[in-house]
This record gives sequence, structure tokens and C-alpha cells, in this order.
Amino acid sequence: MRKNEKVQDEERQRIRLRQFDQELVSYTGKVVWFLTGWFSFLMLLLICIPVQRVTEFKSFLVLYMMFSIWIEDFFLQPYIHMADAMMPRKGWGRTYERLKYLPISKKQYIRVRLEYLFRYLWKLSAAGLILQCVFSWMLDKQLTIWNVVYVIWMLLVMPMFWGWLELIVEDA
Amino acid sequence: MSDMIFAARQVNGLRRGIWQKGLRLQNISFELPAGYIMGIVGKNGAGKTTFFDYIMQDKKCYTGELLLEGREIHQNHQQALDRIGFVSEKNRFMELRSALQNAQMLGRFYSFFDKELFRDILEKGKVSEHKIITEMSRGEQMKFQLAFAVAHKPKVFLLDEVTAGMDPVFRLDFYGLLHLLIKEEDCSVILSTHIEEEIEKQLDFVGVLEEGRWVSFGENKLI
Repeated sequence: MRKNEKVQDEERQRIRLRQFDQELVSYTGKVVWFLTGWFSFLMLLLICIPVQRVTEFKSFLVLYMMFSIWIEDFFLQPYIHMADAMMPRKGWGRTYERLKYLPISKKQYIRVRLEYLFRYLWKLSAAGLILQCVFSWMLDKQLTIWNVVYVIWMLLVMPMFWGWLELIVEDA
Repeated sequence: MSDMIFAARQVNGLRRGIWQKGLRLQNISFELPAGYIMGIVGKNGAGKTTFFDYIMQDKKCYTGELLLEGREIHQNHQQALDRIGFVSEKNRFMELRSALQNAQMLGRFYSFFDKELFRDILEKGKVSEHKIITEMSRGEQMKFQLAFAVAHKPKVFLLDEVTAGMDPVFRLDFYGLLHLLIKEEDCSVILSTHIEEEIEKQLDFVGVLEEGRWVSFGENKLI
């Protein structure tokens, strides 16, 4: 019974957070989506290189890393900051700072934001997977499990990990 | 005497950092029944705000027990926060939004939030609900925070040097409001203050902190 109550309470917290986020993003998410889209596009361009040929472009590895950080960072900006990423630094406070004395747990705060990020990234990964398969087939006439693992790692696992890290160190 | 609403039992506050050793607060013990105002007094740096931080922050950074209605607050901290009205010098609100927008956005996290009551108290304090938080004076911010705290009808109010920036007229109204709330809602108030007049006239219980040590606690007339 108590476990049930806890589950219901957590679900209630998440619903309230999502409602709060809808209003928050109407202020903070006006422009920043452009940067998320731009870095996602660049990442999709890079993902066109089949995994079998990636070792030929070693210098690109830094770009992969940077883009995966930027994608998650700009995607999460409207949810974790109080002002738009393109606005002056006035009011550039962290959202969690404003919520930490309210009846909402940090665990739920992180979970809800990771859900948003996951919903965006899996669509990006699906697009990346199609590109990777098409280009791999066109250039090398081969498809292996590594093509799939590579895309999921680059477009889903890595940005999710950076996002989790960013949220967990917030106000640590 | 009515039921005990808030209690501290042998609370020793620990330092948060890995390299920080020793205790920040020592041996805090008291019991506060419903329907009373308790004051925590002490010099600057005595540990008054630290005590409130231990109650409000997510992680339990103390040994001993802090009980709200008989339950350790960190057993279910979110549930405890739902029943605590916290007003502090540290601004925790959305600075670029108006008082009303803050109430709409942040009030939803409580199981109950009376927006009309919030508006009434702002009106009594002569603070416009459309005023942006950064444009408010310190006194106005305190009034806004108080209205926000009252609107979710908590069982205990924690007020950290709230009255310091208030004009004397509103201060009297403020205590009038607190007494009314205590009577109607059966709640209690724990506040920290420096103002002698308040300590003498308004408080039922007084606890004295000195460099983190709990020196004395008792009824106001006896201390």
C-alpha cells in the first residue's frame, strides 16, 4: 500500500513538473531550438560516414564528441535555465534552484528532463540509422551490427549520458 | 496544550563538504505545540539560517531527529515540504516573472494552493500582483513570499528574518495575520529575528543559539 502511494506521489510530481515545463519553455525555449537543430544536422552529416570508414577520419572524433554534448546541452537549456540561451545573462538562474524548496524531488526533476531528451534523441537516432545504413550500403555494399551500435552509441547513448551528467551535477 | 507539531531531538548538524569536519549545530532539542510562535534568536553567524537549511534541503545533513507531526521530515521530504511554509532572505523565485506568474507556475507543486488567498494577502500588503520580482523592494519580496507560503496552508511556517525589511505598520499586520492563521489553521511558526520588540511581545517560546550551540529554550517570559 505504501509503495503504491509512493508510486502515485511520484507520478503526481512528474505531471506537475510537465505542466510547469510547458509554461517555462514558452519563455525560455523561443530561440534555442535553432541551435539544437543545427548541431543535430551537423551530427547527421557526420553519421553519413559508415562506421567501417570512421578510422580514416580520426580528427572528426573530437567533432562527434562536441556535437553530442552540444545537442543535449542546447536541447536541455530551456528546461534547466530561467532565461533563453540567446538572452543576456540577466536572470540566467538554474530552474532547479527555484524548485529545490518545493515538494518536488530532484530524482523526478531529472527523470522528466531525461524523458524529453530521450524522446528527441530516439527520433534523431532513427534518422541517423537510416542515413548510416543507406551510405554504408552505397559505399561499401555491406551492413553489420556495428552500423547500428555505432549510431545508437553516438546519437542516443552519448548525449543521454552527457544530459544525465549535466542534470546530476546541477546544484550538487 | 494542543498536539506537538514540530520537534527537534538531539540535532547535531554536520558540515556538507568532504574536507569540512566538525559540527555546525549542536544539541538542538525542543518541542513546539500547535498554535504557538517560536523564535530562534542569536547573533549573526550563530546558526539560525543553517538550522532552516537543514530542514529545507533535500539531503539529511544532521544526526538526531527533526519531526513534523511526529514524522522524521527526511523520511518523506517532499511530503514534509508540502506542509512547510518557508520564507527566507534567499530568493528562490523566478526573478523575471511577476508575483502572479510565480504563484501560477510554482503553486501547482503543492497539494493545495489558494490563489485567492494569495491575492488577498498581496493586496493587504499593497504589493501589485503584476510586479516583477526583481523590481520589488526587500520588504515587498518578503510580503510576496509570505503570501505564497500562506496560500498553501502549511502546518508550520519557517520564517528566516522576515520582518527585518518590513515597515512597522505592516509588521504589526503581519503578526496579526500570523495569529489569525494560527487560530484558524492550527499551525505553528518558527522564526528567527533580531528585533527586540518582537521577541518581547510576539513570541511564545524562545530558543537561543550561540555559535551553533543550543544555549536555552523555554517560554518567552522565563527566558
